[in-house]
Amino acid sequence: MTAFAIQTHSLVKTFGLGRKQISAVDGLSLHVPEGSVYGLLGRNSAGKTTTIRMAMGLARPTSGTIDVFGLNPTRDPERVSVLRQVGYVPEDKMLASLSPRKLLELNRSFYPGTWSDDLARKVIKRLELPLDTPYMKLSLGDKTKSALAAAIAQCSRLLILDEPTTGLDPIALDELLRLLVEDCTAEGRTIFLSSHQLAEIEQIADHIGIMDRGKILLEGPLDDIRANFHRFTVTGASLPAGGAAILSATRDAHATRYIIQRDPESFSHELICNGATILDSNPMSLNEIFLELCRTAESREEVSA
Amino acid sequence: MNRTASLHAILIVSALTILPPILFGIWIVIREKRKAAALEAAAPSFSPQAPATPSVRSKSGAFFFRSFDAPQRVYLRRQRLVLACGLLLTWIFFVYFSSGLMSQYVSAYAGQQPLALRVWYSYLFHISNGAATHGIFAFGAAALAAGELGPASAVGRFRRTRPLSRSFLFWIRIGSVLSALIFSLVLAAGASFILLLMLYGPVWKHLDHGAQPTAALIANARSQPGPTVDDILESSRSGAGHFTWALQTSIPRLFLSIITTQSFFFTLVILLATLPIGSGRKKITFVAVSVYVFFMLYIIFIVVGSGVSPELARICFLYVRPGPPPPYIFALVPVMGSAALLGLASNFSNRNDG
Repeated sequence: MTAFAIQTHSLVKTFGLGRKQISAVDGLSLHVPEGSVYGLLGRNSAGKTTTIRMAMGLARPTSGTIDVFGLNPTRDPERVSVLRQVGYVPEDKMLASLSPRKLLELNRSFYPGTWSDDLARKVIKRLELPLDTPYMKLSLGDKTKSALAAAIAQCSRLLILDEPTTGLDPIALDELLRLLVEDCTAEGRTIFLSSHQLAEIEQIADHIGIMDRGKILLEGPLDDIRANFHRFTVTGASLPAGGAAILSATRDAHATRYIIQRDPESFSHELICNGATILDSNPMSLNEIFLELCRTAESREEVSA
Repeated sequence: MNRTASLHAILIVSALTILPPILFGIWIVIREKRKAAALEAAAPSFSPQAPATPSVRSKSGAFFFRSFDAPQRVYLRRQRLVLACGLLLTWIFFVYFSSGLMSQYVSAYAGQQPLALRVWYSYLFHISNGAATHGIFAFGAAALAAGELGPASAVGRFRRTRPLSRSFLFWIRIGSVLSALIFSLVLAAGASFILLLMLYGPVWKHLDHGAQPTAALIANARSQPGPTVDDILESSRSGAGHFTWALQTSIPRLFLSIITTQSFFFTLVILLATLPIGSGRKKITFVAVSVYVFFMLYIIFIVVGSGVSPELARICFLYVRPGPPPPYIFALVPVMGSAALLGLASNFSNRNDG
């Protein structure tokens, strides 16, 4: 049985009252396996940060449940147990308004059992973090690096990174991704990171969750997702109009374009059996999958509205 | 009062008022220079000297810290910053409490009365009359404490995502700032009292010197047409009222009233800051407007209302001018009120994560 670092069931978070009520998270069910590098993808205002805030005990769910290592992060003393096991980089990277050295020293004293000075030094060196620059003079990228160094050197069981690449230059970004893979996934540790920068996530994540408008559109191992999503361009007389495997079908004058989300080989076999001609068949990149899922969800919502 | 004593009083009070901030400024400059020099000399790498677990040096420290885990100790140690604010408040309150000892204020009251009475009355009047001013500092201290409580600020979010329970964060933060406020009031009161002794000696022991001229004034009023006894007591020129009020005033209750009132103000702001109403700028505006309205009502009450309804002022243990003190038992009213407000604030703070 898979153990989950983070698990949510029908999680709902609303803000405001009456007509002004906004659903930031709307019935979210998420499963982050322990030991995975899980990328939570979504557009702006998809509900990623709100979900992370609930996992960190910074926001309370309106309904539904969220567990971190089987513990409820919204209720003390379980919340304290959760926070002992979690390193966190917030979306705005504003942590304690201290110089990087002071932030690291302070954070080190909060986690004496797990903190690694060697790892801290490694992150500082690899990310070229200026240790003694006052907080007010730090660039956004340096604030990001500072928050990342503090969280990574904690060596926590779970590392939660909310948009961890904000402000990083390509070299620092590359170093960060390598650091995460090389040093943060040892001993079954879990990384949960949110982003809308798909290319970066695709490089390191082994599990993906795609969120839109507070709901999860797709979740699973990245390899499975890549293997399942396929684009077919087809001509023929009796083509299927819909089905469980078909995410979308677009007809134009010459051909029909299918986006398949499950078992592309069976679908291709079925097409051939029905006398169709497959003009083109391609696997899809994560970016294409993401765009297609978001567009389909949007058009379905418009139709239902 | 002879000119030399007057000059001494002016010099000492002025020196005590001006010197601390100058010395503090010099200390800050030296500290910053040392820091800059240390940074230049330091290796650019991360090599912290202190052990990761906060060490406890003294026996009393060990006794105090033994029931706390490492993150809690770190948070407790971070409260040392509150000490600096406490020292600043002590100095401000001390300046305020001692202002009545300045010779120009002492001379302003009842020239017919002896020096001891004038000094004592001036001292009491300036302490009691500063209730509104003290309130501003209580509000400031509360803002300092409340700023770190919620997850809205960077510091607050950092604390809230470390392994510390919400109630621990609330009570340690509130406890340390409120203690600093109370201790600064007590220290300032003690220091101003010592200054009074240094400058004028135990003046309260010589108040009977004022009995004779006051008795003569009252007897005169009774025997001759003209101003009544009440007129004489109310007249600041005669000093008869000052004499009576100075004799009736209880200095422990005067200071206790300041402490209980300021603690109530402090807890009120904490409650407002933790109420689950809005967030960000909206919340700050709500708290600021509420505090402003409350403060204006309070000032109106102490200026007008306490004269109109002295019984209400007594029940609330508001002692805002020299005269008969409220009974000690009424001190429980603001104390219980503060405790209730803190209890509510703690409840809201524990649930106030958005």
